[in-house]
Amino acid sequence: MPSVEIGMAVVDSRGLTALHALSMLKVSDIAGLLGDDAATAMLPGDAAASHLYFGSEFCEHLFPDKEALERAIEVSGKLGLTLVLATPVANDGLVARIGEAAAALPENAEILVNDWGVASFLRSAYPQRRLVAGRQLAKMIKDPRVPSAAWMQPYSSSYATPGHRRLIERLGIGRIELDVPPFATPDAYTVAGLELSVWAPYAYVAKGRICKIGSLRQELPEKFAPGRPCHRECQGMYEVGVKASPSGIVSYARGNSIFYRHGEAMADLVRDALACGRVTRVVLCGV
Amino acid sequence: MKVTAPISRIDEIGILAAAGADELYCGVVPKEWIAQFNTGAVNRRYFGNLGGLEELQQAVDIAHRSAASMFLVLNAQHYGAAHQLALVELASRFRDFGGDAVIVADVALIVELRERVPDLAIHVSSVAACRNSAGVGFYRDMGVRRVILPRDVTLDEIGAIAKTAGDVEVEAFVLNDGCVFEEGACHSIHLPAKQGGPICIDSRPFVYRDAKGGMISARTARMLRENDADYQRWLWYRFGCGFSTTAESYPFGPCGLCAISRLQDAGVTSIKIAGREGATGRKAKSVEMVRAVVDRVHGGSPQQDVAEFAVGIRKTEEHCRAGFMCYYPEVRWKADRPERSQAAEPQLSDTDR
Repeated sequence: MPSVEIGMAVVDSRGLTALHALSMLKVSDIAGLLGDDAATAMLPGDAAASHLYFGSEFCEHLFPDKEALERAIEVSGKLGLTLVLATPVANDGLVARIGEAAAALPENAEILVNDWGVASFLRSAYPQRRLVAGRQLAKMIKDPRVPSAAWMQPYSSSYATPGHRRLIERLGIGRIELDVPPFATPDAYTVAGLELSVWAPYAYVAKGRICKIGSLRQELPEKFAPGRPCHRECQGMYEVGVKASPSGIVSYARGNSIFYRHGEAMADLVRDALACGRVTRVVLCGV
Repeated sequence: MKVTAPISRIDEIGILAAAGADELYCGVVPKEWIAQFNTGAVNRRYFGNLGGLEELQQAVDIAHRSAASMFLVLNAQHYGAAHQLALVELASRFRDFGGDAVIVADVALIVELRERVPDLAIHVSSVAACRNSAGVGFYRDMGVRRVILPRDVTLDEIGAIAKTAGDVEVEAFVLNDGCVFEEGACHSIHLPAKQGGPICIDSRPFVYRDAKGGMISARTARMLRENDADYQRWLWYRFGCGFSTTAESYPFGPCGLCAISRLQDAGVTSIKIAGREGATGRKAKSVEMVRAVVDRVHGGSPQQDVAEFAVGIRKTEEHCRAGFMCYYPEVRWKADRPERSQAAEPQLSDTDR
């Protein structure tokens, strides 16, 4: 297998505590921390992780505060990992907070952007900062319920088109991150001149700004609306759906988003893409 | 502030313009597209599109004769390279017809259109999920004329964006058709009902688990059941109170009528009525409602009087008070507001229609 970068995604700052107890982060450790041996099966257990992803791609309420960010900087430094600050679609207030966080990050840190406005702001304010284009910027059909590949055909993804490429270059972005959709083929992971990451073993299907679980402790008239306070209930629970038919893929809901776990063919595709070097980073995540 | 409304047939143009729409938007499925790609998927809707280029040209002509602008939606989240080239050609034809702007979500297509059809205005679709001032600046640098904000932004956020938008126009949702997930971050397909339908109302069950996969406590489970019931009620409102109307045929569904004064004050250029696939009568009644409220705002009526009038149109104050039908629930109707004025009986008069 060619050299592969291995990242572990941590959303909740409480997840940093267990990492702090380690002296280095190996794939077998990630399997233990995720409680999911199958999630890392495509990688050698003694392979060392290279990146720590911290923060949420999907929720503005989960953006880390100063203390949590300092903790992540400390833990990543201790373990010799490159820190990747994950950022979601943002309003003006959060863009400002992302800017403050960007100023505090180590020189080699990366910022994972899922909002063209955030990318543009960071490129202007922090021209030396390495940016990674997140999964929300690489649009694709990812409905785990579709019964056949024919359903995926009408709209091809645009992340490999010349226009997208020119835009990415203009923003100085050298890496894009992708999910594995149902019925994916290897050509989905051939994008000349750009480094590719894949998230495994969970892909996201949809995210909203309205959050069912985030409204759990709201009074009735205030539920299911943007801009309300959040108690981060999503960090304590999630939902498991039934297996989709006929794919057998299982869906999950956590916070404002829906995910699915890779089926066998998707896991094989990730393994092959890593083996032949089309994908150079895998980000291991929980639901 | 302009009123922007959808059409799916050319005979709707005169009706909606007469009802008060300043701007109209449509989709089209050219036969050349079907021949090349073997699909009717030109934009995000298989239905509710004009039948071809000849109809598109007629639509532009009729709209302009009715003193309305006509926009063309090319608003899928993403297109492949071959699709983008075909859309550049389609946009070029639309420009030649005198069309006023294309509505686009895919940034790669915006890049191509800007370079190849530079004299055609681009409106950034709500599907692009532009939710901050930096995003508006990003699209301004790409040469767009307008940004349509996504659903589920707050009035304060809209105000902040509009304040810094400069020469980029800002459009915001005002009526109908509320997605549950953000359009720009929902990668599902509206499947047929027997395969689950739209994923946001797919009724197949989910089971709660704690963060480690274990069972939820009984007390938490009870709270979750109550919250789920509230959520189902919110969904019912989100989908137009079961896609119903008042006795006078005014549609229910996500509504920002009470917020129009705030949107006007914020400097919003236009307010959008969604529902391209809806029936003609629904569209006409939607435009009628929005126009009546906008005219009061333009006439200088105080915000509270405007809201009182808006709430009175449907004569279902209980829905407005619930807040779940609001695009902008921060101005949710509260009948016991102390500043409530003695407004006129809130019914549409002939001059409102």
